[in-house]
Amino acid sequence: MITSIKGGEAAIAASHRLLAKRRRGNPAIVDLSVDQIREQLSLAVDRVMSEGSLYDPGLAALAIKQAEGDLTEAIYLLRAFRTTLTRFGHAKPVDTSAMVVRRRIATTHKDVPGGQLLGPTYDYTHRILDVALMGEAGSDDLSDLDGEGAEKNEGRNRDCMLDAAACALTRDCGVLARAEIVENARPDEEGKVADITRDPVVFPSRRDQRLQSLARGDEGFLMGLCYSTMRGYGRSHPFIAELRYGDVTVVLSIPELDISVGIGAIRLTECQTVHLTTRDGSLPPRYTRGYGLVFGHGERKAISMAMLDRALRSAELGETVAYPAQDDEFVLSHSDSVAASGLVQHLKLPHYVDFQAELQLLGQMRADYAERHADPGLKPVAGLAPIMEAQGGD
Amino acid sequence: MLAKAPLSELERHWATIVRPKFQWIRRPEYGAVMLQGAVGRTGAVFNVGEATVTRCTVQIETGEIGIAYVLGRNKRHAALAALFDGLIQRDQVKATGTITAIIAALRRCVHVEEEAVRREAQQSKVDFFMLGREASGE
Repeated sequence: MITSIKGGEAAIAASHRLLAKRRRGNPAIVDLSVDQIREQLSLAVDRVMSEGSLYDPGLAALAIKQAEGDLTEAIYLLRAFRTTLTRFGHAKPVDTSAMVVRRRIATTHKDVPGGQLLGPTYDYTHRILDVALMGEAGSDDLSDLDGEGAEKNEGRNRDCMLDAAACALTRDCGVLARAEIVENARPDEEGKVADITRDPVVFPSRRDQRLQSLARGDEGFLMGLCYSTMRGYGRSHPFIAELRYGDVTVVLSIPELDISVGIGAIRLTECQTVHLTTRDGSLPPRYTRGYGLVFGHGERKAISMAMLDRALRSAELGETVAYPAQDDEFVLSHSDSVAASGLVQHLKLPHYVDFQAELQLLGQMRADYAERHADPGLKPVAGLAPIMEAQGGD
Repeated sequence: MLAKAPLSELERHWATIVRPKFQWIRRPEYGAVMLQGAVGRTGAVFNVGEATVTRCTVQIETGEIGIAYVLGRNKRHAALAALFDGLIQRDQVKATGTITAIIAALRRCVHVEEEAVRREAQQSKVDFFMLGREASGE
């Protein structure tokens, strides 16, 4: 007999009201605007865009506000919105060599053309809480009372030779410029680019499917797997040949005109890793590549993506697939936070019938056990009888 | 340039010209485009994710069709970009140069902003120096 359970509408409406109240917090504190989130919590916005698979800082900021800062929930909101949009077309692959670079480092050579540009980074901060950001420093601020007079000009206006610097950044540098020892980044033979939002991944997967999947994968999960490859669960000897963050132009072929035009700029983080590869007997020892590209500024994610891109090429490059990070089915099936969150959180849904069935099974197994071990004293399963009674009453 | 320039600049120039009569062929509407990357910039192409886009098509009174696709969700930006696109075509026929000058101004504006970003990044360029550089002959 199937019994449907109804009710709860009023409780759900009340829950929504409580949610709105908690989201607003103390009404005496000024309401947080979406613009403030977009401008001042930009790394959270970037993460939501990246894993939400939709570049739109305003909508990502709205999702963060609506989700009270729960980024996984915000990502879900943005993904759901994404599905409502008509797709106008496909942009050309972004030209990261023409990027307006805000940050760029290369770890294989000190003096790479274009130089090491630190840009905005937490890498060289002391990780000490800055109480000045609490905005309450007024009464404690004695910095203008040091008796030193006016501030000195630090003379940072160096003659930049900007054109030369920008030009240097358009070329492969460091180890990437050494074509004789680094594998060629050759295009796929197959013409059509896979789209996992339209066609599910079938295993064994293709590299374009993996990269799209990794680009929207959960940062924490990907970083944990990347970490595992470095700690010995997968042979990985990486160098970051180049990591850059900046603005690239999006070029779209306009359907009505059949010409390609720039339709705006987006910010991206790109990571190119090189890995010493010696196992593929058909080719001389060389460096192979891993590639990471994510929306906004997300270096942990971009590095993890590049490392996993390479780890997931193990079979292609003649390496034994022995660890989770090398197993495409394991990585791709578990890296999506929306899918993972869905199954994990479904545990909160009513499981009344499942549990009843399992309790009955448990009762039967305990009775069998008591019979086999001649232990008539084994107590019947607690709670079974009353619940069955209640069920009978439905 | 019309898509890259900030809306405030388009508005500023829009206020300075004689506004044309026009009709909507496609009123501004939101959608998305799929963005792509290429491994190592030349290798395997893959989809990175989508971006929101607003598109618009207008026909100005003299018959030119203006089309705009602009990243983001800003209907006014797409509409003004489409209008300017139509006006450029008329400008090129009549060789008045007004709109061409506006586009050049927008290009300069975008260029100035990009240079400012590059200049800021250059301020954080690492100056390596080695102790005993001359002695070791490096």
